[in-house]
Amino acid sequence: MSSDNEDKRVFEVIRPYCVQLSQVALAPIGVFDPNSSQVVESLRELYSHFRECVNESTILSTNLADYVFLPLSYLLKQPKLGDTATTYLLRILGLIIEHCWSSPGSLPYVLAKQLFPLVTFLCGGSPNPNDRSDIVSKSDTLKLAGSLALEQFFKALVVQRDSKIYDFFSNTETLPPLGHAVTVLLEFAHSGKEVELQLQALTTLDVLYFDMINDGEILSYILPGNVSTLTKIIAGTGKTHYTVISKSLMILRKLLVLVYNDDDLNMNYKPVEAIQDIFEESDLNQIALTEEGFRKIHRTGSWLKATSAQVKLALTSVLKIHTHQKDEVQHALELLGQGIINNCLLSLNSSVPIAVEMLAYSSQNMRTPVALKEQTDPKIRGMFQDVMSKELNKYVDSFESVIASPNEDKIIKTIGAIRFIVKMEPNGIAISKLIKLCIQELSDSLTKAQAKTKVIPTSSASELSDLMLITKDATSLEVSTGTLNVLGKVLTNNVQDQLASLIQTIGSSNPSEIIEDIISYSYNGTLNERAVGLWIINNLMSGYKNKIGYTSIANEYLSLEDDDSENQMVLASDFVYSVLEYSKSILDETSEMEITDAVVLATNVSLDSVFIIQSMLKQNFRDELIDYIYPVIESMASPSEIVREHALRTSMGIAQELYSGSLYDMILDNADYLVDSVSIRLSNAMTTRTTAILAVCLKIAGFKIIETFKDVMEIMFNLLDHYHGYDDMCIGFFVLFEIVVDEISKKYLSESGLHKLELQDSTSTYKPWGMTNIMQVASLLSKDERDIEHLKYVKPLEDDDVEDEIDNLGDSDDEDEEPSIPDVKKEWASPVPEDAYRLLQQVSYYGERLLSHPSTKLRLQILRVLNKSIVVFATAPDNLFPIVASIWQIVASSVNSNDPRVVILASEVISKIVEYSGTFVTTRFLDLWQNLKENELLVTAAKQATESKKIVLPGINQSCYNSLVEMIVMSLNKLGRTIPDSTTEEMVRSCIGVVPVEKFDSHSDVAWLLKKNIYGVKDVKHPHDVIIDGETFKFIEV
Amino acid sequence: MALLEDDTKFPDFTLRKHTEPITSLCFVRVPLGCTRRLLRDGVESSSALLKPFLLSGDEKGNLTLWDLTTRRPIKSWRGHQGSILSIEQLGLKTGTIDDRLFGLVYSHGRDNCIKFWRLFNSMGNFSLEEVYDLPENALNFCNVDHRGSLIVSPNTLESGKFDVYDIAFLGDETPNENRLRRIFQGVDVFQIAAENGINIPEFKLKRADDDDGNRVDKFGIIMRLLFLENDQLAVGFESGHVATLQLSFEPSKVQILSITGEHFPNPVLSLCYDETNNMVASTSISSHVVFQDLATHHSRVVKLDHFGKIGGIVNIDNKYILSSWNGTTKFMEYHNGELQYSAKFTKPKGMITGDLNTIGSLQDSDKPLKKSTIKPNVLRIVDSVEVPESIRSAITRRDINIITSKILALGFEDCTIAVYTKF
Repeated sequence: MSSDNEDKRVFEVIRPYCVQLSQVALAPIGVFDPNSSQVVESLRELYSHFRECVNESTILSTNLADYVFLPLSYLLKQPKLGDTATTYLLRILGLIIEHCWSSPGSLPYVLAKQLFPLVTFLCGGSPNPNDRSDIVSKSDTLKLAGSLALEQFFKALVVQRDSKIYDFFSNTETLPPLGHAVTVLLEFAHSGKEVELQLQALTTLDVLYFDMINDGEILSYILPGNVSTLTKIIAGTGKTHYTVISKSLMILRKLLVLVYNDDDLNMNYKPVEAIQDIFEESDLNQIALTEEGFRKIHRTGSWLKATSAQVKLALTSVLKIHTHQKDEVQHALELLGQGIINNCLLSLNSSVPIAVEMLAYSSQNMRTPVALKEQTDPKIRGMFQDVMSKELNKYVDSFESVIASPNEDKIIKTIGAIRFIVKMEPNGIAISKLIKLCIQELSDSLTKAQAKTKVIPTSSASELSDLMLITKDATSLEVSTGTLNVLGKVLTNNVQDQLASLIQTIGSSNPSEIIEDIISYSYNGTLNERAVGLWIINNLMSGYKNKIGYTSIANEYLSLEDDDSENQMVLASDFVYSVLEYSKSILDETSEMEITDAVVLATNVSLDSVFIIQSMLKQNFRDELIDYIYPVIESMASPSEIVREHALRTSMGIAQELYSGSLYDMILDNADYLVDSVSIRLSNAMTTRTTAILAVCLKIAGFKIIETFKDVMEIMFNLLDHYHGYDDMCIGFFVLFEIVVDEISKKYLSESGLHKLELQDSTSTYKPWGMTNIMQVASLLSKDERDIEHLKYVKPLEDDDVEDEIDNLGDSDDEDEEPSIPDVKKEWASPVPEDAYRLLQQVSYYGERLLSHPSTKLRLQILRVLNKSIVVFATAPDNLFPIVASIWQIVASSVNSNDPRVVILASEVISKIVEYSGTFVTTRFLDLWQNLKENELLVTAAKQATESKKIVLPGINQSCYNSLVEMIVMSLNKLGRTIPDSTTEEMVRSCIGVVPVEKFDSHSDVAWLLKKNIYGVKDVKHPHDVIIDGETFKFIEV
Repeated sequence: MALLEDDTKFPDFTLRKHTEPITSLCFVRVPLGCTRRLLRDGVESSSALLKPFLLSGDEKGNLTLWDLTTRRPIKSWRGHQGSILSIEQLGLKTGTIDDRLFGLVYSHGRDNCIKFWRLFNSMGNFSLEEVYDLPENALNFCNVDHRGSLIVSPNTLESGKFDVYDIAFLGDETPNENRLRRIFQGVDVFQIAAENGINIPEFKLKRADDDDGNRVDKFGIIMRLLFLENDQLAVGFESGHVATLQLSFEPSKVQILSITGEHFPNPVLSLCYDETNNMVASTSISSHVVFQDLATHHSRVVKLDHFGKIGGIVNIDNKYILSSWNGTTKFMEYHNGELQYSAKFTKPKGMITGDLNTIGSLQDSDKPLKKSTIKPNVLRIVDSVEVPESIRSAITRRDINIITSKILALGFEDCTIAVYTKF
């Protein structure tokens, strides 16, 4: 309601300008200059002051309108008016309409009827379909003002209609001006140079069509022009602003939905039921609007037939903008497609495929899921499904060429389109075809790509060391959590992601059938085919998992109620076991293969399968560890870094779920399964990485696990019997044996144990008598007083005992007698159990045989094992000697090897043997010395010592010499007086250059003398107070 | 090398836990509900689905119960003070629960005891608690066997005779051992044969040129005992004779059905009953198998070349599995009285061994050629059971696999048990 105060206020402001304008406007025709600045200025001032004193909500009376309109009417009576003047006039008119004539009843029908053509004429000229020069000549500013005024006018009409005063367009006499106005506005929208004008024209149309008219029947008259102009705007060649395009798309959608509304048109659908129908109708399916009792005059069956074809053509053009970059346009296109499918499925049946395409292309980024109406009529649904299927097939058919195309955008668009349709309407046959195509195409291109690259980045050195990481703190391991790119060779990351996403969409509905299908399809295929197949399966499963959530899969096993839904879930997840088995078959196959791209790919994909499935099965995966822990852990020792990455991720996944993230616990708990898998592999003479696995088990579970896998060790020994020609295998075994020794030492030779061992050690020739002072010597010499009380010695075996034993062996089942076999076997005193001891003994004997092996690497490894074993053997001295007797010769000959690396290790072993066997090996050592003293190194060193008093040897020879010297010094000190003096002198001479006199222990006197001879007295400090066996001796220089 | 020969049939998995050589094995069938609470109340125990577990015994008297699904031990305990000779489950007949004795297993050790163990407690969990201890003669290595509530064992004093006990009282709520009945005592098959004038040709032949006055024409000690259907019993002797007997009760009477001396003079090592062909198969130190038809009492000898001493024989359907002391296990098919070879398995070991005998190892030069195979000590087989479709969904996939498989277990000298689920 207008308020008098408002009227007064506004009136006060604008009155002078109205008066001024009237004066100008009332100028006689001859005098009036339509382009004079006076006219324009008066209009401009009136407009600007009028506009300033009103705001959006200002409502003014019609009286005021009349007052303002009066001068305007004078102006309008003038035959001609300039563009600028007209612009202001239209603007003022707009203000009048907005503020004075927009309330109910303020705009009488008669006034409206005059005003409508007037405004249209002012901005668009007179209606003339053949000549548009009238429109074109006007300025955009004017047109904009006109469009705005029209918008205000239409809004005012809406108010009148809504207040039931009158419905302007229900009167047919208003239709011709309507037609003209529409033409004008469309023209503005189409050819306006200013975006603002285009948008305003479209807004005005929007208000006119949908706020004001909102009647499909009326709009159907002007539809064709609209469709064609809007199509031109949308798909035109010019660079139309995106806001204009999306607004046009919006209007087009609203128009089509309104005019072709299925419900409004009362459409019905009858599928073909008889062949007769096909002959009678050109269309296969019968879609028609029901004309009986139909009150539409214009929209008849024939109209529909004629126009829908036009619409289809128009939409085909519109579809071209699916490549448009702007989201707003994509969204508008999506809404258009959606509008058609939801509302015009029958009437615009021929355009539905295009609508589907619009959705498919524009819904790529899936901001909001496309909302399609659920069709309740099964026949209609069926028809729509047919359309979708046809579209899907079209894309699938093109997929083969698309995927191979270098155009990433094109691939992604197509994938997106397929994904959209699949999501809407999954079609098993097309999907199956698509998947087979994928497998074929991808594996082919993989094979081609793999043929190009030859070098695989590997780091085989880490086979064991990498796996050993497990035994350490697992938190330090870096695990990649994201999806790992596996098809990088043939697809860009983006395409791979999109394809994965498509497949996940497919998998989100129960994928078990597809999965079984893929497995049987690719089962006998190449490794690449199986890998791609499994990759697809992995994505299907991921999709399924994301959809149903893992909890439901996990729970189904916990509850054992027999209700049907649960059973369905069980069936649905049955496929995971098929997939597990499938991936295991691949892993089994690849584990023994040489690393190639294809092997890496297949292994990775299989590991990923296990990863996904364990994340689905959660706790239930524990049952599967029996079969899957091995391939996963084994892959962690793969020479390929990428495989290790995948394996680590999978292992960590399992450990997270089942062992609170501890790989250590996981292996400890499943060492038995790992060992059994190793034994099966070894039995089949598959030795790759098996020892690494055993080594890890051993490291983690400790030596006690050996008790249970002794039979596996036996298989290894058996393999050594037969296949000792294979260096790598033998080295692997002896690396493991080294760890076995380590673990035995760790477990049984604790610090105290070793300490004890050294105390027991009694190799000095003086020691067995245990004499500690001169009195004891005296008593020893005095036969009568020989004090043997505290002498310890072991009672030698009596021959009788042995005979008894042999006698009794046969008849142990004498019935009544308690078997009385004398216990000839001495009680086992070693802290190392007999079994472990015997095992090491066996290892040493194999080592002994294989020390003559041509592979230096193997010999070095064996020596390392022997070196560590001697200490363990020494815990049972009686058994040590036979072992020493057995291995001495070959080790001693290794000391004379040409390879300094072998010499270093072999001399260390000899040192150890001498250290623990003492005089038992004196003769052997002297034999060794006979050869050794000719040794080039020792000779050179001795020569250097004499000549330059300094020993400098090149490179490794220095350390080689050092370890020989250490061996000699150790032997001299251990064997003591059992070595003849002359030999002692030779030995000391060979090492005096680098060893201080004191180190020679009991032979330091010899050393001192020699050194004195070589270096001269002054340089050598006499070793005063030498302690020999507890006795202190002083040197007296003679 | 044996490992890579094509006809080698590897076990599906190996059970490792024992630290002493395996000497006895038995599949123990347990209703699934007892361990997994799968079956709801009201399910009759007699129709319960039984899953096989494996009970193994070793040389030191340790027993271990294995879950074949997880391949892990469920329980291990020291059952006897000596080597375990037999383990059997009571109350089962052809794979279903037979009577009140169900839930009991017994083990027989060289400590002269037959011990009866209750498999589960009232909660349905494995408890393996000892319920009864029957003193017995285990001076030789003969097994004991049972059918229903009858147990046959070598006589407490004389190893050439056997006793039969009825241990039905163990099925009572509170077993009263006064109800233990010895139905047959000290049955001497040779004596019965002599009394009935049964001709034993081997001894006659021997007698002609045998001057050894000390020799007694007897069968020697009993090596194997085997209950057959319908209260029939097969007895394998040291002399190589295998007798089939008919037991009848009230009054207790033993009737000889047949005696075959095909193994003579080699001791019988193993007996098995072939239900399909209604015959008893026996093996001995010689490398041949004797099939004794229980209907016609005819026997047939099948010689296996280079197979050594056949320590064990088991059969299922027409499949025979034989193990030799030389370390080989052979899988064979029985067809028209012949055994056809199909596959074999040998468990390898290194030819060089560790040796703690300080005297022996010094004589390095003339070491005897060591065997490179490990001897199978015992073999046992169990038949598959159908799992009805209706309850499949309530049972894990791996359990179904075990239940529906025929399973063969081989106990080895190296303390391991090899298991086949497909053969």
